[in-house]
Amino acid sequence: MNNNQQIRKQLRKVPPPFKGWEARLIRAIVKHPQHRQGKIAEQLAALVTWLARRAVWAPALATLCLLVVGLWQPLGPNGTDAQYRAAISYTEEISGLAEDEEDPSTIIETLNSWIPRN
Amino acid sequence: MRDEAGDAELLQAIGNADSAAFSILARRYARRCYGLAYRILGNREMAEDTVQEVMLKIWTKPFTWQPDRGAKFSTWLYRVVFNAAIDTHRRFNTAPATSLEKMKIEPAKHADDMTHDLTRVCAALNQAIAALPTHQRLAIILCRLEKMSYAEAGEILGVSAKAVDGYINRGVRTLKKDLGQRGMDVVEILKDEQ
Repeated sequence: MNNNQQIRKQLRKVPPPFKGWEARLIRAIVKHPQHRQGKIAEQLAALVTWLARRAVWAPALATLCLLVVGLWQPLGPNGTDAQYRAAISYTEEISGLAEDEEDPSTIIETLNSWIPRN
Repeated sequence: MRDEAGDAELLQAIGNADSAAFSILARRYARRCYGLAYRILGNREMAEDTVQEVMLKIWTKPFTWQPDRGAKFSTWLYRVVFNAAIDTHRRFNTAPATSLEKMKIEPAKHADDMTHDLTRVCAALNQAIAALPTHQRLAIILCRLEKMSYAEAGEILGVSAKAVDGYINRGVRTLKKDLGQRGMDVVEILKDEQ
């Protein structure tokens, strides 16, 4: 390998991602069906905006209600503990805080304060 | 699902929520997608987030890629990563480039000194490439370093093969102007080997 080839090889390199990133990425995406719920919520929100822009208020409000009820179900006070734990665990994994930050309990405390529990 | 399964086969399986198939596809492409995103954003966390966003799209909408349109899955995927990274770049105004003025590299006394100091050459060239405009930078990286064809790089960047050629020529001219005085033969280092 001549000097130019060695230089090109070096130039191709970028700093590697954080250790275990790929495994964490895959785990975070495939293990949490909330992603799909999130997508549905995103689409419903887009529909509300679209309807509201066209001043179609009745369907817009109906969709908004559906959105609020749909999101409140898993995370609100009537959500099960399993759903709640899954949401917390999902947030930790997707943010990488559980493995990368020194004190992941901070984010969990913050989330606890946001989500009311019975 | 086998590791050597084709991309189309994996996507079919992902459509049926097959997490093993997703895992194979992600391990096959995530690193290279990350590399591309990093080249645009210059930030590990943002590059990781961008790839995560794209991989999530593949998991939730695996049939977005249409093979009958002609592009290979990898090319289409890099195009999606490119767009997502450019969006992030615009949103957060990230600055991957280190300004050439900030580089503190002493000029070489003789060309031979430079060829023996590969690390120094690489650092200077890396910084100079990072300082190029995004399309010029990526055209050089994709075609001259990753050895993609102009057509393939054009599909990723959303421009014609001829435009890619133009970006490379302009980029190499800038690098030659900035680094030639330091004894580096940029044209030779980045010559087209295809």
